[in-house]
Amino acid sequence: MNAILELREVSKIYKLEAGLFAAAGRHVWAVNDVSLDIERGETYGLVGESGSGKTTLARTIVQLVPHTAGTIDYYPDRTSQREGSAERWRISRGDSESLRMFRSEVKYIFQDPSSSLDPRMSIGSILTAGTRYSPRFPGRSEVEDRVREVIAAVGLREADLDRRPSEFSGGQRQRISLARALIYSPTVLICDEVVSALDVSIQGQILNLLVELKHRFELTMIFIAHDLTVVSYMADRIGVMYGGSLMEEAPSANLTQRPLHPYTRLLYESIPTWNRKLSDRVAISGAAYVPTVEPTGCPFVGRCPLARERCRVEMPLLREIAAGHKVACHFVESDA
Amino acid sequence: MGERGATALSVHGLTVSFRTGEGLLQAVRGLDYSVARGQCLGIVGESGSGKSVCATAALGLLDKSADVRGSIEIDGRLLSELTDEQKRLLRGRAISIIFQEPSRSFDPIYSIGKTFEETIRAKEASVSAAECRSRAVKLLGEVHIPRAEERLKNFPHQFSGGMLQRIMIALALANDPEILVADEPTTALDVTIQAQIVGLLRELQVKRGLSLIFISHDLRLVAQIADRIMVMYGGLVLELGDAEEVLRHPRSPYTRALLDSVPEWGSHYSAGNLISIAGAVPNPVRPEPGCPFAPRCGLVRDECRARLPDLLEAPGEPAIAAERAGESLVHGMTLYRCVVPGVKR
Repeated sequence: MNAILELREVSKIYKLEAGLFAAAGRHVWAVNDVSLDIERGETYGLVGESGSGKTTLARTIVQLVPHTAGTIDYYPDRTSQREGSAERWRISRGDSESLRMFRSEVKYIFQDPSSSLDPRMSIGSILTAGTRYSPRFPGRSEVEDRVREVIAAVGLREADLDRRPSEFSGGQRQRISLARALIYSPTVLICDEVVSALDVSIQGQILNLLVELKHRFELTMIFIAHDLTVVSYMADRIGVMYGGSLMEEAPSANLTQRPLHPYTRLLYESIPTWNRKLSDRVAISGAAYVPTVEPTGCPFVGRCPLARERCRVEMPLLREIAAGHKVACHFVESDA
Repeated sequence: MGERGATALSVHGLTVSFRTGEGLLQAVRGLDYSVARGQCLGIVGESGSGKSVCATAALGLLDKSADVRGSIEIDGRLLSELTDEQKRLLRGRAISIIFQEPSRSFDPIYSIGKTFEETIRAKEASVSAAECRSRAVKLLGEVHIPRAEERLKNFPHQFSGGMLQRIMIALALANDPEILVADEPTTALDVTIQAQIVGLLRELQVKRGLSLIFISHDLRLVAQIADRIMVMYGGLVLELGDAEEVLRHPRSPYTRALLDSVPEWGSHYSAGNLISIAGAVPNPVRPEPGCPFAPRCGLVRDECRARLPDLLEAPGEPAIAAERAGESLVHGMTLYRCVVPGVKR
């Protein structure tokens, strides 16, 4: 075990502003008590539907969204992390100096490259604009060398540096976003739905590129998507989220062969595949998780075929059922 | 509506172009297709492929600035011979459409009941309010909205995206159409909800004998519901055939590339790269003289770039003559546009 990121009971509760029509004292429980480790060098996949908290959780890591409870620890040392001697950074908004260092090491790639690139800036200035504020700014000429290196690494040409984002297609813009992150020689790349906005024939290019970059720059990756097929292709381990909680966590192969949690199974059965007819189970509807009510039991209780009274009052803990395979359900057993 | 032939919709030689600042944009460049009664035609394509335009043209919904040529026949009636009023009545009664983002298809200040009333009365002005209500309740039941009676009082924001899309389907069926066009109906929805909507459409297709046109960028999704699949690229059909045949034995290199460029269930990056397609989707303002896929195709030859390949009939299939003779169309027939012989998966 060699964790680079350690999340312990991380929660995010938003306070809703009181307004003309809105009552005061309302909250949104977006992420609830999530604990997980990201291993150095792995790709960790986070999968879930809209409102599952996967993006909020990822944003708490880089403090784009500060968490309201729990701890996020980062172990910067690449080689000699030993018991007791490892350097540890506790990530919070309060410690702005280490947060600045941390943000040079952990970079976030957004879903829609057309809205995350300034249309008035040239690609060259998009890539270098932030570097001067980085605590590791090596000087201008070194940055220029680095720009040349990463622009080639993402499959663009040096001539593209003078062009503007509107001159590029969606896939190329996503390459620019990647280059912007790689300038800093990050250790961790958080990819949030990076292929969802792209045409199908372009998705393959970008997924291949991510794998290539991961090897080349020895990256640890957090890969977030709603599409279980894509996540299981890209990830070494997968965490499945629903209603702000981590429902299941397993190595990719285990999860695709034997999804255990009733929610993961529902996700699995909803995947369109041409050689499997639609399951009748997906017709089961029921009440979805309501994030504005303080959660007491399992968030999936309203839609779960196994739900019993206990599920309404007691949130199941994440239990290890097989090696590395954890499930948060009172009733799932290893032979299920 | 008219005599009930075996073909619900047939389109011949359809071209659609728009005048834009950049020049003439050729959205659809010569298209023949038909939908048999009770059948589901899936149209697959990426952005700019012309997949939506070829269906919205059938509803006569394109902007006045669009230059539409070719013939569109719905229920034996040529669209070009109808007056605007006749076309208006045709929409809803003969052919209806649902769109991608259900929340944007509703007027936020109309209750669901009011929306139904307006929709029903647009085609049958004399229907009483009580009759509208009872029809609406029945339709909502058909799309599995619980407590339909009460929910008619609710407004669009009080429903989830999945429920709104189901209400949208009920509205589209309010005037009892023969054909329903579903244009990316699940793209804005979650996967589990997507499966529910596709299941519902299939159920309605069987129960009502609906003819469906299901448009999506997702070949795997279309495969779940379509009897026939039409693959479009650069405003052209590159392949058309029975769903299973197209998926098992794609004859167009583009169809094959589409299947290869997204991971299959259970595959992993450690076992090898995806076979990705280089390049980007073509610009419809400056179409290639030859095959639109030629610049990205792994099997490309000189002749592909020089001249647009014809739509060929897959060998061993029934002759195309039946279609030419005006008979009902293309069941079981596979057509593909590629000059490289023996392209098969």
